[in-house]
Amino acid sequence: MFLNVLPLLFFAFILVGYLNLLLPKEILQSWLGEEAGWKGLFIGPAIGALVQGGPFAFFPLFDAVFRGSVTTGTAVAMITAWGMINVGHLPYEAAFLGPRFIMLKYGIYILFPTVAGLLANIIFGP
Amino acid sequence: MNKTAIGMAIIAFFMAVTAYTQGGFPLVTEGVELGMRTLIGIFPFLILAFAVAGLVSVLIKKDSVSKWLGAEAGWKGPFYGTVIGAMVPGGPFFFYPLMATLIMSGASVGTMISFVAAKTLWNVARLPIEIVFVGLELTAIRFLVTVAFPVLAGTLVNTFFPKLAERIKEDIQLLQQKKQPTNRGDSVD
Repeated sequence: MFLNVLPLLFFAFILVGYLNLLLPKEILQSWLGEEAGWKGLFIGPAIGALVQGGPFAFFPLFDAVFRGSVTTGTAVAMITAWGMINVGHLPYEAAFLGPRFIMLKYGIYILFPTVAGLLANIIFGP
Repeated sequence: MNKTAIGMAIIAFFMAVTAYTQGGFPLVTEGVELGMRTLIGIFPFLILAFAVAGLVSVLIKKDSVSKWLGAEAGWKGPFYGTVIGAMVPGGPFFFYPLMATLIMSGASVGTMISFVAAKTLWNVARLPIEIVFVGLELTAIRFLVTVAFPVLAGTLVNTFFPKLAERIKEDIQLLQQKKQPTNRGDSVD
């Protein structure tokens, strides 16, 4: 099983490398300025889905770069998207579960982060 | 090499071209290096993960998987999937192969959609890190507004996409075909 997945993993990690390299954090932050407003509920998840790294990389980065400038809802949407629809998971999903699973998972999950953010803003205030 | 690997190679090529236009050859090699460093870094874990996935597929009782996580579990399946997903430790290199193994052992796709939602939303191993960096209040708010998501997502899939679930199972079978010619629990019956 392992040796057969190896070529796939090889290319998958080249993709992960380029994703890290071609998506500088400063550019991501500039998309989500204070003036983003309600659009933050859509831009936030998009950025969350693109930021790579495990919890030990993501949460400190989120705290340092984004936390101060976003509403509660956008923060919730961003963290939720980083977990649920993270593009860094795509190589693993393609390698082990196949293209139809990817379509199904992202098709169903894609609106959840925005809904979560909206709920957070409505219930707990921005 | 299967189709997925070829597709991935093509995307990698286009990203390399993008890197070239942005920073020339140094950026192209830097991307490959960065990826390979990540791969080498998690290599020991990968081998362990495959060992666990392999062991699970040999040791697991198909009866109990389909009873708890399969069609037999009915509406409770997504609920069990959610609970297990919230508790299972490990990164994507571990839980995706595990999910493939569970689906091949009889778990329903909807239940696995619940599993991966809970795993990536609020895994118990991750919550302490989130609380430390983001604060208890925001973590609690995020948990409260998303608490119904995993069960909801899995139930949606089980209710509306049963045929797609079958096709996904075929996909996984294709991906694993060359990997495990014999000795799988499910080849016995």
